Amino acid sequence: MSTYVEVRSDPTLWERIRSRKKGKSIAAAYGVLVAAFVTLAYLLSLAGWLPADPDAMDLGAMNQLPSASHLLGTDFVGRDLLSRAMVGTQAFFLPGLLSVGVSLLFGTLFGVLAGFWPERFATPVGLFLQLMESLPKLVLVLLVIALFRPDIYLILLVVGVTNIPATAELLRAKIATLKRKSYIEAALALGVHPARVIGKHILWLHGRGVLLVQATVGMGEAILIETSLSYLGFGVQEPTPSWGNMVALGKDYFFRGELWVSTAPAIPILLTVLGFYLLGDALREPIAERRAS
Amino acid sequence: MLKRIGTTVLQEAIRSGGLLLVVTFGMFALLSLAPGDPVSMYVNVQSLSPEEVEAVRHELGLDRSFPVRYGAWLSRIAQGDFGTSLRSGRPVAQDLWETGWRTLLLTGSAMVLTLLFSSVTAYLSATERHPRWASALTAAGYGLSGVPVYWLGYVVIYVATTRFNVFPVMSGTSTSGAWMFLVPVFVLGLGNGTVSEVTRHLRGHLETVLTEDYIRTARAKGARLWRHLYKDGFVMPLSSLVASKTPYLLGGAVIVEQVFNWPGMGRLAWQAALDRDYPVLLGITLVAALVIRAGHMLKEATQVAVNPQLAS
Repeated sequence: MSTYVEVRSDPTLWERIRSRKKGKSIAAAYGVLVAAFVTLAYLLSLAGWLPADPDAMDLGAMNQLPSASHLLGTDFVGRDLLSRAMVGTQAFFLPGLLSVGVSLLFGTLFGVLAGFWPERFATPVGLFLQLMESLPKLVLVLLVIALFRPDIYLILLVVGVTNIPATAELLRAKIATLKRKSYIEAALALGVHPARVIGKHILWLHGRGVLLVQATVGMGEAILIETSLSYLGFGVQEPTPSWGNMVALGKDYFFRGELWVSTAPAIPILLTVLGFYLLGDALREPIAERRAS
Repeated sequence: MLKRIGTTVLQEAIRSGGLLLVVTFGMFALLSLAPGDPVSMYVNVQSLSPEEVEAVRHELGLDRSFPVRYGAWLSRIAQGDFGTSLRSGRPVAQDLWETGWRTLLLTGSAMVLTLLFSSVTAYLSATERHPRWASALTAAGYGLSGVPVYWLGYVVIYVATTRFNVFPVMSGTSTSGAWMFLVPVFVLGLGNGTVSEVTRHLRGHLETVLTEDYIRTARAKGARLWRHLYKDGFVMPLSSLVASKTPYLLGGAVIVEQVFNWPGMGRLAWQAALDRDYPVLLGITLVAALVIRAGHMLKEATQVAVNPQLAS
């Protein structure tokens, strides 16, 4: 009998990419699922198809654990937590989309300007980026709150504005490498209108990935900031439900051992933010395996 | 070498100076846009005649042009005079001084914890030595970055009070013992929402470095991998991460300090936002910007020290 020696080698590049891919597609599928669920909950809450009236108090059923009649249990005045969590999506859904829309729209505009005409626009865009990176978003938002007492739409609009330079910078870097490619040069030399080159060859064929990632991560961040501010008492105010203020309301009961009231709204925050982060990471292009020397 | 670092620090200082100037200008513009007449903060407008109000306005310099007012305000800021708190009437600079070091301590220690966790995770998954540990830690990192940091705070407080019979809610004052301090650091360090992002960045960087020829050579000759890896694989990305993630930690400190009743700058910011005490918030914003720029300066200096080619 011959003996076999198991030869172990480092996984090849191909094996690495394949093993990464499976995890990535699971992450992406989970992220899409979360986005679909949030959208569904938002639409259902708009249509009023809720398991119970989110504002109906029931003092006979306070701080209940999940049961058949209240799938997520009840809060400290007996309101149905599932219905309130579903209505809570309204606190960030449209404001979050507004925030993402603003950062994508102006980020694309400035990114294209700085990428295509770097000698004229790269410096101001870079300066704006460094400026935004020098301020903690939450502190800036608190300052805006102290000065203007804005509603959640305006707050998340400010967050969107602070995200403009990051989007612009990613797109600028992308365009700077694309511009050196011969097919872009050829298209421009053949007389294709720059607007068409920018719109089709650059933004549609190469830029959409970057923009999609920014949109996903931006939405996750918008949810995080909305819930954090509502938790601190600056965003959406009770009795209008937000996942953040729902956690805050359960605080006193939490320390007395009734853990569920705060935990029930913390779970959708965790699952949703995680979903958007995972989706964003899965959509990111794999970085160059080997540095260009 | 030292000269190169000195030049880089100087360049970065000039750039930071310029940026801070723009920041203060933006702050001042925001202030002037805010609704409400500043005069009414100092005197009761209704009890005075229009001429008297005009006199107060002149006294306060409010009748002068925007650039003149900005210049005067800036020169006071430059001398460390951030005005007085609308709520307590105390000088803002004094409040900042008393709370600032606690927040710096909290965020600094939390940053160390974040980087430690991410470095270990990234190293394990990039080198593929202990795949199970690597996957477990990566999953934990993702989970932690989605957890709302205030809820994590509740859980930790609850566990500490019921299981260990200690009460970590209070004070950065020294009487409470060392590990009271560790609890908020733990919560902010792992729950600040950037752990997965930092890990991903580090792992990507490490994987790239590990494909370099000099690493293959080092492996082939049986040298200690770490000695060849740490500069390009850890020092460089970690210094950029410290600079770029400081804003997130300072933002997270607002929430964590509120949860733990930690008497730092974040809690001061929260209280000031409640009271619309904008001189305080303005001071906090400027201090935060200063800290963040200092982080960038540190990063530039470190990177030039490691790789002198980066000096311009």
